[in-house]
Amino acid sequence: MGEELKQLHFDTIDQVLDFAISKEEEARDFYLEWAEKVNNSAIAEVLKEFAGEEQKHKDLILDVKKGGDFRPVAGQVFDLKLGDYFVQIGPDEQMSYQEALQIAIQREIGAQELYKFLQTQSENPRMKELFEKLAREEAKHKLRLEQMFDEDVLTEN
Amino acid sequence: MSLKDTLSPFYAWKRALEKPFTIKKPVEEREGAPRYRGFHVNDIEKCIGCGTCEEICQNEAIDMVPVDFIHVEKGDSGLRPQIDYGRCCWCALCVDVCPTGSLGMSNDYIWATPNAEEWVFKPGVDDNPWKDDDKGYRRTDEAWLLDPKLTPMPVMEPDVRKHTFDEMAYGYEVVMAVEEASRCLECGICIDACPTHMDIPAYIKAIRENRLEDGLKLLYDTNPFSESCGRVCTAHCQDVCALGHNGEPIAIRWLKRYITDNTADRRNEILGIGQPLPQKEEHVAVIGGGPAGLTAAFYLRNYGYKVTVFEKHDKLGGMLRYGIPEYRLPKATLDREIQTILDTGVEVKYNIEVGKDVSFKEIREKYDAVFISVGAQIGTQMPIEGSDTPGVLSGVEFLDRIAEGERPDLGERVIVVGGGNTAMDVCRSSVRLGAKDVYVYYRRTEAEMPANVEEIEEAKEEGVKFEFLTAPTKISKEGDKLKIECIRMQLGEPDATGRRRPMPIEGSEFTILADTCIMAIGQKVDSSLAEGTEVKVTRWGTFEVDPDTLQTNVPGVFAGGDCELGPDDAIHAIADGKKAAYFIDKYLVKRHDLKAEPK
Repeated sequence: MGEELKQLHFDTIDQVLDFAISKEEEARDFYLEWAEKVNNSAIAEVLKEFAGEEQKHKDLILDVKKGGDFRPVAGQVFDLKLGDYFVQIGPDEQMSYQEALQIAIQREIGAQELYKFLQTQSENPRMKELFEKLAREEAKHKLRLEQMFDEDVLTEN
Repeated sequence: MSLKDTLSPFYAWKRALEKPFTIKKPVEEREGAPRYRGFHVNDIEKCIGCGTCEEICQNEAIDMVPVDFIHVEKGDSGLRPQIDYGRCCWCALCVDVCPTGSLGMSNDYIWATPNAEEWVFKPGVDDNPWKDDDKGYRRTDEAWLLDPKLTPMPVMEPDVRKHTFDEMAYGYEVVMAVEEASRCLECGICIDACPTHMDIPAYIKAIRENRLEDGLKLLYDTNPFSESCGRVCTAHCQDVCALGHNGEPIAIRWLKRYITDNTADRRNEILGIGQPLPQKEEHVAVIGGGPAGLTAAFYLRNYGYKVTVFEKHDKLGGMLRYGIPEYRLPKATLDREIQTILDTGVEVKYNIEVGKDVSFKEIREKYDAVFISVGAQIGTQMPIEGSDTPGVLSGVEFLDRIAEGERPDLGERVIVVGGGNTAMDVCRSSVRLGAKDVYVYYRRTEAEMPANVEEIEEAKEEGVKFEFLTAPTKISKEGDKLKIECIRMQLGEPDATGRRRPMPIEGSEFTILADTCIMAIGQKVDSSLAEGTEVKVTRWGTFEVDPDTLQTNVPGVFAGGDCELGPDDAIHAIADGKKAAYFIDKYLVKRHDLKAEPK
């Protein structure tokens, strides 16, 4: 984790939730920006779908802020760890579906690691629990994307 | 007349007040013998509606009829037997022939009903007292009237074939072909399962009756690549063959090959190729000379259209040529088959890549209709570190080089990654190129492998070793070797989709040194020709079409084969080619947007 992350400090639960909301907004805007830039309209649609997912995540956290709770996860959230071995790539106008998925998986891994890190840094038990739940949410999102990669890209593997 | 004769009738009256001897039904019902041939029972789940019972019944007591809750699907006609007990003689031939063993007879033998219509019923469907009777007559393996064993194809021994690219299967002799053809029940279940709906029972019958010319004509009615399919078809027909339920399916693929092999020298004459065709003014462009494109070209020529094929290579055949090694499909065989298609008058422009050498717009403007059939010829890259290291090859590119006649030195040890048919072609070609240790690494188990079982078995016979639940994670160079870091996997619990997905086992990492690593994990479509045009592609890079007509969003532009389906087998591409020709004809005849036509 970078030094700037170590500077992150939260005093209240609301501050944590606002931070998480801003991360979801950032992700949504990232996908929307690239949906405008890519050459292939089908890939633009994929990126808009990803942006829609991030918007849903933001709405969920907003709901938690209003007193709601994260949806309980039925059973274990599997970790296919596909993304763990991927080479890091960045977006470009020519990106394919495979690359769009790779980028999305990388971003979810990044978000999950961030919350795990903040969990270890936090001393407040309620905040620790919240970071754990946020990391778990990101794990769910990553699993969904990795399942898509497994299904659509690694067709003969 | 004697006195006795005169009085006799009156003696009978002395019994008039006695209890009668006649009874309504037996006082004590005696159970029938355990293997008594009583009324029919049918295991409705096992029955596939093949109609062999109807065919064999000497009294015409059986009719195949639809049943409300049974649906037509691949391998099931949706029909079930209905038995007329006014005709049935309880001979049980229907039971003795039943391919699935679903039909039997209860040991119930008493049934009275005043309603004659109830004497015609569907066992297993209509309610009756013996419906669930498990006693009675059932066919035994010894009494089965069918032969469960197929006639084996003579093939080259593994120790011989692993050193040569020569074709490994020799083909049926006449006696073998007739023997195998004689096993066919003519149920026709296979026709629906075949993507191009070949009339399989009819051409098998033609073999039995030594009418190979008729057989060849039947093949070409639906498939101008029958000779290739007779060697490499994935044979969806055999998967559903009625005989396959309790024995080995008919070797339909080999029988097809028998017809084409034995008529090859007179093929054009038999098919009437070269004779005048209808003449139409319209000109159709076919982009890509693989199985889909050439099939479309063949049928379009037969409709009377002028056809020009644009092929980016200097030879035709697509994945049949560049994806399938010679030991399965010799190039000479493919060439003579393609020649028949060209002999109908198809024009070919070689070494022209649409989108580069000529724009799609130009083609669209010059031709009355366009069929895009560019295939899916780009290998999927594994996005792990080092996948671009020298010595790491793409499966499709490797097969392409082999097809071009190259015989690269792969070194002693080759790791092939993937579990599909491409991976099998790659590993078996590697053996033939002299590699001593050829391993296939597959991320799931053998049960999940998409490759044909036959291919896997033959690869094993040739010495290929399989490492299941294994995946590479990083590749680098160590001296002149490739250092491949791998991890073992385990299948997780079924997820929401019901699939068990592979997950790495922590601490199971290992490293292997190899000379060559070939990735055969999937293929994708190069749809770049559509860039800057109105033609829509999907996120997977395939062309978006109306599945009913194969027309894209642009009227008059059609797409089919792998570039529309995603990587698939040859027979699906052939089926698409034929379908496209049909709808291109409809489009050109009516000159309107097919999408506007009511379905």
